[in-house]
Amino acid sequence: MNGPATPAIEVHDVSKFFVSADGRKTRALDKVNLSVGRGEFVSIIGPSGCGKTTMLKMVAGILGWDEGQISVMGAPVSGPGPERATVFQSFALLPWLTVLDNAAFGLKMRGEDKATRHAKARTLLETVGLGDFANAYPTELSGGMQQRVGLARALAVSPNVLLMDEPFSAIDAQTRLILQTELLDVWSQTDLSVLFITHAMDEAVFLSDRVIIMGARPGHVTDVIDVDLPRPRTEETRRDPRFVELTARVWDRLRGMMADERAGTPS
Amino acid sequence: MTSNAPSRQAGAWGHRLAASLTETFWGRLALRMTALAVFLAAWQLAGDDSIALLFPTATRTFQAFIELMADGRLPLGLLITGQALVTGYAIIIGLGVPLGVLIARFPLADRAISPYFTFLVAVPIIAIVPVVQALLGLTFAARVTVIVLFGISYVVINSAIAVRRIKPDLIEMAASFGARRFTILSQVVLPAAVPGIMTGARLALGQALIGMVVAELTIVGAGVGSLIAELQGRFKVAAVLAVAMTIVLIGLCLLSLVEMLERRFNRWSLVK
Repeated sequence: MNGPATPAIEVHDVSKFFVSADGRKTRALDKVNLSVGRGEFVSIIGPSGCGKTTMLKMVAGILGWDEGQISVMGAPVSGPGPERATVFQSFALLPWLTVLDNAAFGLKMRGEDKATRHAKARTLLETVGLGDFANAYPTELSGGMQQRVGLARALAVSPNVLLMDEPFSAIDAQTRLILQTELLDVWSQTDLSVLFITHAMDEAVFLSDRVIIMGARPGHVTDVIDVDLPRPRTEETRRDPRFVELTARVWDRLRGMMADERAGTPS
Repeated sequence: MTSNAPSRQAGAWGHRLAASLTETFWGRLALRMTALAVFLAAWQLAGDDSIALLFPTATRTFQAFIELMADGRLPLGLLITGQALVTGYAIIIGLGVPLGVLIARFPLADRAISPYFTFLVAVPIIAIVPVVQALLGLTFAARVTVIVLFGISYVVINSAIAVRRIKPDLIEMAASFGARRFTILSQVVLPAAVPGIMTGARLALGQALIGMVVAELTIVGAGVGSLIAELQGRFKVAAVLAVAMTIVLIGLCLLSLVEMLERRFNRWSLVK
């Protein structure tokens, strides 16, 4: 069961209900099935309200579900685990800690002693290009640099699975393109499996091996698109006709969904 | 154009003078010393030392202060009053912060105990002092209780607000790394709430100082309040003023100390 054949993440027939204020149960996720292979980079894209962030939080073990099973590295998920680490949309840095202490925070929660976690955090800060900013405070950094700290904090705990919740959506467009390339650089040097939530179509295609498209009301998987672009992916990839074609295909699926929704729900 | 050049130059000079008085340390010191000298001179002129009952001059008040210090009555009074204040303030912080956290994190605690602290803010505490006196008598405990009643709600309410304002993703982040409830509380929730708690602590100190004097004036003790009452009974106006001003000055020092701490911790909350 724990053999290398099992995928890094396996979500099987998972449903989740929310109880609304008037006591009615609404289905937020409906029998979602998806998997992320070992060392694979998979993105989930979908309109807001499709439950993609909910899905990620359930895999992270910080949110429960009602039906179905989720396994990570062959073991059923029943809470957060040492083989997973999460990068947050809002960076989620602690403003009273230095960059170094922020990068070491995950290790601290895992019970590592100070010398070990600082040494590890320093190495990861070097990796993300923030070696000179170890003693700065998060407020002194730009958004892109803050998210690099968030990435260093996640990588410092040496996870097998990296969960990224719209990590670049609060960052300006130019910085975002640079961060995408940097993320692929870091990832290519590891055997990390990545589940990446985004609402940017070009980002999903540029980064991923597969793009999972989700629809809303209730959240469900509508399509999976294989991205057969060669790696390593560089700035050249963005001009590749195949890249443009795949991005257009993702947009077609999303647009079709939005058209259905407009037709289906009279306002 | 040329006619108003000199006045413009004078304006620039005035500007530069004002800047040097407000922007440099020695400038600010000179400004404050001048203000103090003017105040003391006006006080000296307004006072009348011909009869002890009249408003005393600055020098007579200072003499009374020296006498009270020399015979040990003021230091003793300050010590006794200080004990009640320190005890009361320690209880305000030690009890107020946990209660605030409890209210913010547990809806049941919120329902059960929040109304009492809202009540304490709304009601003039001075009206409850006789009740405290009836319950606890003319004791140290009664004076401490009055101080606590005056200040605690500010700490409870501000701590609760600060804890509620914490961004949920900070808590999710810690939880995602496997942090347990208590670790999240000590490593994320409390540090994030420190600026708010400090605001509560500053407001509570101002209230505790008022409570301290009220307790001393209404519940007899051996502190500075009863010293004032006794001196007033013997018409020693200068001595009364000396004691009152000592209390005010000490209070101001304590408040600026807490304000300094508050500013220091405020850097924490700079990130939204």
